Order: sequence, then structure tokens, then C-alpha cells
Amino acid sequence: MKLKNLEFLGPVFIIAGLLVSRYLFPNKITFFTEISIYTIYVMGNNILMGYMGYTSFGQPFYLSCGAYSAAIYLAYIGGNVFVAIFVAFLVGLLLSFILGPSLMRLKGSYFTLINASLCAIGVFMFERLLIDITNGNDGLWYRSNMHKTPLLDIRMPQNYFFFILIVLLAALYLYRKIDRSALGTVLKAASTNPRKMRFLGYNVFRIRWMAFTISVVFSTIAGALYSVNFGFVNPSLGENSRAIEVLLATLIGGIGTVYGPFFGALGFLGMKDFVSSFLSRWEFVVGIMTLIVLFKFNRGLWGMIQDAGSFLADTGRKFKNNSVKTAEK
Amino acid sequence: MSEVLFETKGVSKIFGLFKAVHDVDFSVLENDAVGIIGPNGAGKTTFINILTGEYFPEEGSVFFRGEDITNLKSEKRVAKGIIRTFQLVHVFDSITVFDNIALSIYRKKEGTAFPLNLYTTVFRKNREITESAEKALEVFDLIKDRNQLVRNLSLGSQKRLEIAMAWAADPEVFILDEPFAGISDHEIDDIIGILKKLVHKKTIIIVEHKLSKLTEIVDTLCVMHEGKMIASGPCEETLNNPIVRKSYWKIED
Amino acid sequence: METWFTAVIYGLSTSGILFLVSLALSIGYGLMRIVNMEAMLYYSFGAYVTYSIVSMTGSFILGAIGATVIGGILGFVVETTLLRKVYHRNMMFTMVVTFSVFMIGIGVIQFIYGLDPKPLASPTSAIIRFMNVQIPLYRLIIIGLAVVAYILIQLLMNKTITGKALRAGIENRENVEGLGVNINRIFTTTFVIASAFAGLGGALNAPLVMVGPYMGFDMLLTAFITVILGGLGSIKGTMVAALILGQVVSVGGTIWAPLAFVGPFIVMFITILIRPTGLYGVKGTAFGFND
Repeated sequence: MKLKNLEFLGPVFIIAGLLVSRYLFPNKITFFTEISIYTIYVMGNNILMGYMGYTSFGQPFYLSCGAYSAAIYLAYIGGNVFVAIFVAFLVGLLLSFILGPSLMRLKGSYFTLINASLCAIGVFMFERLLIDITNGNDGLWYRSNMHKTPLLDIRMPQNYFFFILIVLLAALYLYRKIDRSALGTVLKAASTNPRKMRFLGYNVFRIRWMAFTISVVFSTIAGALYSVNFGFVNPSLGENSRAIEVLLATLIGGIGTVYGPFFGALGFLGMKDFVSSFLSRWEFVVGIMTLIVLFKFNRGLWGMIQDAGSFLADTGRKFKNNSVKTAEK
Repeated sequence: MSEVLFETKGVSKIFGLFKAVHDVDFSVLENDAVGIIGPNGAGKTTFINILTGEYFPEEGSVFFRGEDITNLKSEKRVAKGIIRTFQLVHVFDSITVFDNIALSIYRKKEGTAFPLNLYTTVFRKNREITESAEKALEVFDLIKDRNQLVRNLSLGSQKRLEIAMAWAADPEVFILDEPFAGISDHEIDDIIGILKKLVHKKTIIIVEHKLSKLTEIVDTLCVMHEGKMIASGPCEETLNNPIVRKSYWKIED
Repeated sequence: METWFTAVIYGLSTSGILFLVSLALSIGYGLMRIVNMEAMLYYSFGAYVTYSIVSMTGSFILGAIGATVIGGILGFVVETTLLRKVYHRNMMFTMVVTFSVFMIGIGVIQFIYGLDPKPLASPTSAIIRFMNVQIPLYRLIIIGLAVVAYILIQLLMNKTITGKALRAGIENRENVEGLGVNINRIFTTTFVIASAFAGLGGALNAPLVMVGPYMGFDMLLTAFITVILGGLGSIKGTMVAALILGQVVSVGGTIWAPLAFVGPFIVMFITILIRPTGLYGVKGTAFGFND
């Protein structure tokens, strides 16, 4: 009972955990920053995959659109980092406004494939078509253009980490609200039975469009946060082959849950960090991991934590009951 | 004095070369309970689909309270108070029983197909929704399953839940497609008990095979055969109608 | 004028390769209702095996045969060990599964051959002259082989018992099983044939593109577009779609270079907007429209 009342503190626990880890492993600060950004990216995908039942092989496209819009702003127009992130937010809205109506009418695998195509088109666009602006494969560098920000100079990695934590905290609470609100229920209902949803009188198309918008905006903002973090972008961010990474991260965390994305990002990037110390390319490992998670592990890390939690609670209750009984005797 | 609530004039639905529904005239008075019977493939479900906006008829028109709704989308018909259930039970099995019912109440409460406060509403925290939902759960004897995932429920309970969802939306007209299919006699009696309370308070249209159970509820009976509405009228009269006896019961007088 | 003529011939050879490669996707969806993304592995492995055999023996013909065999073997292994387990699962699940297999395959290629693209010389540099236009003989060979493949697969589908059982099995699986036909074996046979063709496509394409670990990715989307445009499960549709896309890439690319890349995507968007079932698809069997 008490545990349940503490549930709303979940996001705070996660942030606190990151903060403690940052001081326990001071040389891993970029890793923790990356986990936080990746969590936001995975959240975007989880809305599609976990709540709406759509698998997209094109998430890197939205990520790189966000990254490039922030980067282009920083490289050519202005130096305010917050404005850059806001630009990515607007680009996310715009993308969803343009693509949403056609994408949300598609079912199942068409959605997946069109997104994969978008991804290919995105790479082509940033690598070749817009080469005068994006410098193609050489990437776009703009760190020196970024202005100092008031209060906290987020150009410094150690400060940027705190900024990211604040963003993540906000994102987690927003996300928790989606899960609890009518929106989350409606999305889950529509993914299991869209027809019944129409006969309950809901406009499934518009509701999905709205959720798609949230998902795209999460991705573009994650992209912008990446580009501010690195100070440069190149087209490899949006590569098609990376589409599976975010799917895997979502699956590892546990799909359709509030805290799944965080544990997914943690598990996935942790594994990547570990594997890449002895393997340069790691498609092989990603593939194997995805299969294992899909077939043997489909509740994900967060699911395991929940199971462990309820097991502990059960044993706790039994233990308590027993002690009460012995006391009665 | 009751007026005509739902009416079709000469509706036909064609699939390729097959005329599933053929020139059907049909009308329901307000607060009347109507049963539609007929053999498999008679076009009953197709006809229901026309009434509820799943299909749009090739010919003819559909009227609701005198208004032409022939080409109105299904979600807009719901807003007018037309709610249906399905032959194969349609509930949302990945969410809880409470959430299923809350979805229905919430739609009614907001009165729009795309509520803008989706994000700010939390079903469990909304008093209006929880109170109505508790009432529906009580009437349909689902209280103990309140927080169960629907996929863990028995088929009978799922059927009851589907009707409860319709009931909770407080519609003008209930359209029930084979509510007794695939469940035990005991469960059927439960559902009949609930429906009896609604008779003459709400308009009810039931499509059903099990005639004996149906006559306990309905006052008017319509018979469909090969896409046509061959008879309609009070139960006794319809059942003794020579055309019905011939084509439906295969009885030659 | 000559430029256009050359473009059309080049386009036809592209169509030939597209047809060979897309067949596995088309059959995978048409027959087993799965989106088998891993089909492009047979193509990449075909190309790599050709590269290995050519560098060892110098014979391209042996290489192409080896690629066809390897394609078939891989198809057999994947179908019997994995795909069979996921036929009944939902579309999204199988897509992620087959995509993972694809990634594993790319990883294997990287272990064996490394990351650097391998160049492969064209097996023949002979040039045919036709009305002032120079056409490489190799392109014509590709076109010829694709035509042969099309005729073979049509014969298989229309003239043999297997083909007839197969077509019946697509329409109603239970009925055919009720007749005592082992539908799994028929699926496997067809799948192996399609995979072998994909391997051959890899071999034929190897001298035209760089043989690299990601070559399957470049082909994956184009192959999917071919299948979507053609209509799922229709072999004739796949052929016609390959013909159209070959010209879009080749002639379109001659008009404006980026069209060679973007053209197929434009075709796909138009198809999905106007006719989601594709040119020869049956209504209700388009991707994701069967729920």
C-alpha cells in the first residue's frame, strides 16, 4: 500500500539514481548524458510501439531531422541553445503535421516500410541533396557558435548533464501522465480493437495523429539534445540500420510501460558500451539480442523489476500474516 | 405517443455480384424492442452494419429521428445515441474492465469523437466517470472483476461487459448482434434479466438465432431471408405468417 | 537519342536484378503472410560468394552457380528453423524477427569479409553495337537470365502439381491441408527456389555495384517497393513492377540524377495513396490490410 503511494516519485528516483551514479563514476558522465537523451528517444518510439502497436523502422529519421534542424540553426542562424531545441520542437510538429495524415491511415507493415523509406530519404537528403548546407558526410560543426547560457553554462559537459536531467525529469512526468490519462487508455484500446473504438464513437485517426505528434516531438527533441551535446552532426545518425537499435532498446525495457524506456536505454547502451570494447561493429550482437528478447524475455527489464517487486510484496505479506498468526497463538 | 425512431427505406448492399441486403424497408418505434431473425447468410449482420455505419448502402436511405443519416460515419452515429455490440465479442482485452467501461462513459460525457482533454483526464481520478462506472459494474455484476484485465475474463463475462459498455453510454438505441451466441443458458438468463429492465425504456434491436429466448424480450419480430425482410409485426403474428412458415421454417401449409 | 536507348537497356538490366531479388519477398508475403526482411541476406551472400569464387577460380559462371546454391541453402535453413515458428505471430513481430536475422547476417558478413567494399570486375567486357549505340553484353545476359527465371517460375506455378497446390494453399490453407497435402513442404520448396533466385540476383549485381556488407540494405527498400507496386504474391505483378522501377531508376536518373535514388520512393508513395493493393494485387491482401 505504501509502495503504491510512492509510485509518483518514480521519475525522481530515476533522476536521483543518475545523479548518484554520476558521482560514483565521474569519468562516465558522457555515458549518463547519453542514457538520458536516449531515454527520451526511446519514449518516442514506445508511444508508437507500446501504446499504438505500430512498429516504425524510421525512428532515426525523426531523430536526425531534430538533430539537423537544431544544428542548422546553431551553425547558420543563431547561437542560443534553447532556441535550437525549440526549433527542433517546431520541426517535430511540422513533420507530424505533414506526414501524420497519410501515415496514420496506413496499417501495420505499410507504416513500417514507409518509415524505413523516410529514413533512407532522410540520409540521402542530408548527405547529398543538402550537401551545401550540411557538408554531407563530413558533418556540420558548430560548437564554437553556441552562446553562453544564463545561470548554467550548458556548453560544459558537466553542466549539460544537469540540464539534461531536468529535461528528462519533465519528460518522465509528461510520459507518466500519458500512461495514466485517458489518452494512454484510448491508445491501448485502439491498438487492440480499432473497430470497436469507432463504434464507441471515437475518432481513432485523430487520436492516433495526436499520439504520433507526441512521439515525433520526443524524437526530434532527443535529436536536438544530441546535436547540442556533440557540437556536430553527420548523416550516420539517421542510418537505416540504426532503426533496430531503438526498437531493441524499447523491447529490452519492456514495451508499453512508463519506466520501460529508461531501463531500455540503460540496458541497451550499457550493453553497447560493454560490447564495443571488444567489437568494432556490432550488428550481429544487436540482432541476436533482439531475437532473445523477443522470444524469451518479452516483458523486458521493467517487467522483471515489477515481477520481482510483486514477488517481494507477496512474500512480505505472507511473512506478516504468519507473524500475526503466531502472535494470535 | 411513440414516434418512429429508426427507419430504412429500400436499402440494398451489394458485394460484387451478391446482393447481401435487398431493398429493405424497416422501422422501429421509440422504446420498442425489435428482434430480427433469419437463417445464416440472410443478411442480418450486414443490415446491422448498414444501420450503424460500418457499410454504406448502394441504394436506399437510413433515417434516424427523421434525419437522413445514410452517409454518416459510424463514430458520428454513436454521437446520435446509436450503440451496437458485435456477434464476436469486441472488448479491449489489454486493459482493465473498469477502463473498458470508462472509455464508453467518457465518450458520452465529452460528446465529441476527439476529446481535447484526453491528456488531462485520468479515469480513476474523475468522480463523474468512476461513479457511473461503478453503477454499470454493479448492474452487470462485474464488481469483483473491476481491476482484472479483460483477457482473463470468461466469454460470458466479456459478453456482459460489452453490453455494459453499451449500457454505460446511455444510448437512445441498443443494437445487439447475437448477444446469446456462444454462452451458456445460465449466462443467457443473466443477460435477459438485465435487458428486461431496459425494455420500454430504451429502443432495442436484437439480432438472434435463439428464438425462444428472444421472444421473452421483444414485442416486434422481423424475419430476414436471402437479403429481404419478408415479414414484420408482433411476435405471434409474424411466427404464424405463411410466408415465414414457408421460407424460414420450411413448413408448407 | 542514343543516350535514351542506352538508358532503357540499362533500366531493363536493373529490372532483371530487381525481379530476381524481389521474388523472395513477394512469395514470402503472398504465401506465408510474413514480411521477410532477411531475404536480402540471400542477395548479399550471393554477391559475396561470387566474389570469393571469382577470386579463387576466376570463373564467374561458377561464382553465379555457387551464389544460387548458397541462396537456396540459406533460404532453407532460415525457413525451416525460424520462419516456420513465426507464421502464426502478428505481422509486427515477424518483421522485427526477420529484421534481426538480417542484422545478424550483416554481422556475419562483417566477420568473414570485413567492412571494406570489394570490387568485382565484369565477367565480360564485350560490347554489342546496335544502331550506333554501344551496349555491354553483360547487361543483355542479365536481361536474358531474368526472362528465363520468370518463365521457369511461371511454369512451376501453372504447370506442376506443386504450383497448383501452392496456389490453392494461398487461398485456403485448411482446405489444402485437409486434402492431405503437406503444405509446409511446398512452402519450403517455393521459398528455397525464391531464395536461390535472390542469390543469383546478388551474383549478377556484384560486378555492377560494390560488394559491401550493407548492399542488402540498399536493395531492401527498392525490392519492397517493387513488391508493393506489383501487388503481393503476384509474380506477374512483381515482373511488371520491376520493369517500371528499372526505367524509373535508369531513365529518371538520366533526366535528373537524384531521381535514380528518390524515384522509387515517389512511385511507392503514389502507389500507396492511389492503389494500396498494387498493380496486380487482390483486394484485402495488401500489406497490413488483412486485419
